[in-house]
Amino acid sequence: MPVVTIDSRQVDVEPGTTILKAALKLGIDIPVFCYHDGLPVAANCRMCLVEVKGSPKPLPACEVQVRDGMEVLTRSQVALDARKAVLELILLNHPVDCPICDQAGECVLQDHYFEHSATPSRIQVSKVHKAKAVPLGPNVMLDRERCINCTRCVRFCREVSGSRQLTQVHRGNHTEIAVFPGRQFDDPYSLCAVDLCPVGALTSRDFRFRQRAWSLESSPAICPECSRGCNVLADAANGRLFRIRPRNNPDVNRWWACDHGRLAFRRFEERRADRSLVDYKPQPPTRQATLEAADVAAGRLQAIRSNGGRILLVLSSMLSLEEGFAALRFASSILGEKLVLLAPRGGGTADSLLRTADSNANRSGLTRLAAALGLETADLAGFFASPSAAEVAGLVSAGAEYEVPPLPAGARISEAVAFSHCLDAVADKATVLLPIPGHFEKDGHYANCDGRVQRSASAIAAPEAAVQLHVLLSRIASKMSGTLGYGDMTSVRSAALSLSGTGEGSNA
Amino acid sequence: MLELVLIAFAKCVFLFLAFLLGGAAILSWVERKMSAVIQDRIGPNRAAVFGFTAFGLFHPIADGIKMLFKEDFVPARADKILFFFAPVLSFVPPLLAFMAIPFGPPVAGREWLMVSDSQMGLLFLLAVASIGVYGHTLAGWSSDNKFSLMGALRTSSQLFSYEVGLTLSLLGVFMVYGTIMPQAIIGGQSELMWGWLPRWGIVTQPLGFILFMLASIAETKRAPFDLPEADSELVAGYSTEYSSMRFAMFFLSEFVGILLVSAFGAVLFLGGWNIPFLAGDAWWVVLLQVGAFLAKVGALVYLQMLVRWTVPRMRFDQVIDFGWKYLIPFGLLNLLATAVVLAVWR
Amino acid sequence: MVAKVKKVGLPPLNVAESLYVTELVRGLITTNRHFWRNWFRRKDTATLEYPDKRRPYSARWRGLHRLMLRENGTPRCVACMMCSTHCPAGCITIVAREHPDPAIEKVPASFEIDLLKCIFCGFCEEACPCDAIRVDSGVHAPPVYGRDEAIIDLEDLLSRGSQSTAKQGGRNL
Repeated sequence: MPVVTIDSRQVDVEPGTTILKAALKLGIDIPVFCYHDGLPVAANCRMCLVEVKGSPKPLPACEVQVRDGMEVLTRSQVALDARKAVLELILLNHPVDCPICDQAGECVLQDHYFEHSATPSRIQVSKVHKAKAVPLGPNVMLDRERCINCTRCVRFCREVSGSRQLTQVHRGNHTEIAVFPGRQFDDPYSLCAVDLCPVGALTSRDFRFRQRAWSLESSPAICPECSRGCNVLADAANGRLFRIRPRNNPDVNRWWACDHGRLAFRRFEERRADRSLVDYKPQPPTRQATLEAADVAAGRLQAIRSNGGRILLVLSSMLSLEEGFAALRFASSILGEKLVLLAPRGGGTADSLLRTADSNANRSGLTRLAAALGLETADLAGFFASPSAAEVAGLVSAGAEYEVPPLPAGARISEAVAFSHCLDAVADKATVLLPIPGHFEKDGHYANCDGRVQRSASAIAAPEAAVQLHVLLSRIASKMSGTLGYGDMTSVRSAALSLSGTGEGSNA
Repeated sequence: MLELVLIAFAKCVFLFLAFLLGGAAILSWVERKMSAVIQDRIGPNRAAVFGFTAFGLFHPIADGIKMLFKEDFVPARADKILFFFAPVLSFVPPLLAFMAIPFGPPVAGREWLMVSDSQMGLLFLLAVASIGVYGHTLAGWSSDNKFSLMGALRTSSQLFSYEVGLTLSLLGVFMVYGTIMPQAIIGGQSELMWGWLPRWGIVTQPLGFILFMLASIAETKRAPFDLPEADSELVAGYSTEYSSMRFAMFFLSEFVGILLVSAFGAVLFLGGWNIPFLAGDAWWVVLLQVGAFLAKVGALVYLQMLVRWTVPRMRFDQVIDFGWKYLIPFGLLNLLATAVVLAVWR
Repeated sequence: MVAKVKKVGLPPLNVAESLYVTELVRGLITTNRHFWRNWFRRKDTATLEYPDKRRPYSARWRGLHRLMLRENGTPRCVACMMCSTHCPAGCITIVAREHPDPAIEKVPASFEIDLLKCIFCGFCEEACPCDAIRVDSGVHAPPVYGRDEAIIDLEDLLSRGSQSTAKQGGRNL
């Protein structure tokens, strides 16, 4: 095991460890541009130069592996001068148009400049001008002047996504990032290149100019677009979501997330159910109106029950474990059913990196939960096609976004109560619609395709009329002279998590 | 006969239009301007005719026009007849009282500068002027407004109280000059005492003059005796419900009242139109004498205004206290002293 | 804590004062003095006849904001939101949009200032990297009938703007 001395502190590391990693073990931060944990080492930015005793020149810490007895100085005059010189070189032709640059505020170049250089430019001749605002692909915009040629994006396409769509052309001052002639950068993971870009050269066309980076607040969430359950950061400002960025989870998605999942959050704003509907008539957009609509629903369900009619629960696979638990308890103890209809969302496409064919956020978790509660599950479409569907007199639909199959022949369904965050096909059929918080508006746990239970925090506030599902169900249950046997969210959560086989916060 | 009537009519019209209406209007400007100047303000100066503001002298005209075009509001439960009648009743008596005021000496043996030199003399003036209180009282009573009623009650009690003091202060003058005829009193004041001192009422009756001034301020209902229309307590007293020209009549009657007591005081205490050491029938002498009378009236008006913008309002019980417990006893004392001095003198 | 109450009695009156007459005469002399002094020269009068005469403004008076213009008359503002970020009152709302010229790249689609929130501190002017917003027009905030009318928009801000020749983006652009 080699022992190295970094800034007169000794550390014991594996053979083959780079100076950068060894320094990190000591808590010493070495500035970098081109280095990224998820990408092969290129060592072309030279920002990480450190002084190594015995070496005639400073060496790049990201690439050089430690030797036993190596003595490294990261803050010597040589290292500081080297960094300053590198920054001056990088900034020679940089336009310094931070006011209009979306990266400003989360720009590595800005941070390093203030920390390691902070001197004005000495250049006396005109800067080299290059093309600005070049649309590279459907999601990515390139500003060639800002580019520092770290090649992170090129390496990402080559090594991670495998599309090999980006490359460098020309030489010296005129080096540029480019796509091949006649092609465009339509990699399904192209927005990861935007995340990787340490400066504002690659920007997201979706997020472009919508909000400044410093006004966003990030919340750790789970992407609901497929069963992978990618860890993401939901960036919000003024009560609105502005972008979704991947959050590093080495066991699930590493540093990446697909463009589809990152751009799909806008659908939560479209056709938002911001008020309850009773018999298709909108109620006032208040919490009180929603609770009163829930009382109406309770009365009607009770009427069906007292006539001996059968009421079934339709459970969307997009709901969290907490919501699923409340709904399943409602089905078993209030509706008195052994059967629950699972309604999955369709339209998933798998790819080689992250996306799975199952586009439901929580199918495995909810299935497991139903089994733990001793309930049978059936597919909604399959059940509607079966002859027993004709006996159903009422439906309670928890969650949304599933496809509504054609009603069974001879159906006598008089009442359909839907709990939904959006006005989709399910809501169109509902006699009573009760708004609930959408995915990024609630705190909940989801089990991904591997059965890993992960927590998603709320990023924005729900509309006033939206009430949490377990509150509504508990109210309806008490109106139907029954009880669900749980109190607040904490007890729902601990019950749901223990039933689904994990303790709270098991987000690996 | 017809000639006499026509002359009297002409005198009345001249008196009414030129002196009273014009004078009252100008007094409203004087009051506003003078209060402003005393209080280091600028005062009315905006109303302009062809760009000329003339120290704000167009303001009374503007006010008059405004008053004419205002809505004449009558409270629903007001006593309509009395409500309409009251302003007239308060406006006419002070005008009538001017009949006994001589503006100058007899010219060519006739009283051209006086409406009527009747035998009743100044008693007529006192009698007529005190009718005005009915106007104020009825106005307050007919308005169906508690503030108006309070104002009316205060008016009647205050005016009755000070009527006594006012009359007592005059008796001394009547005794000294031995007459109640205004021209005769002025004639008495035109004489000289010890060959150099004019025998004016203010010289022979100094205490009487002070009592007269106090009582007359109370009679015109002005600060510090402006309790009947104390704005901070009663909105506008008896005239609270009045608007338009009816209010203007109250407003004008107040200023006519000031002119009346000032003219009255000038006749009784300042020698009327008399200018000491100047006598004769020449036209310029008469003109000077008329000017002297107006100047004396102006001086008394100035004194009243000065008092009004100097002294704060008294409490109502203090007003009545002062009237009965100080003014009347001092008036009686003055009467007694005058009688004793006259008895000894003769 | 109990407030200390200081009781102040009436000052005792001497004989002359208790008669009131001397005080009355003194009062009359005072008002008389003011009358004649002000009648002949208006030295004590502090009144300013406002619409005709106006007090000179302080050199530090700012007035309403304005947005400066480029040489071709388009707004200098690049919607960087430095001003709205810096604004202590949070009165500036900017929505950015793409400019057809990639050399300019970003312009405000809307630029709204809520004058009811604005405290006219001038921080926006100091924060501006482009000499685009200035708080120096000297124009008073207009009276309005509703809160909505107190929000001034891009057009209004530009109408007060004039051309600025300040160089954008440093020395050797």
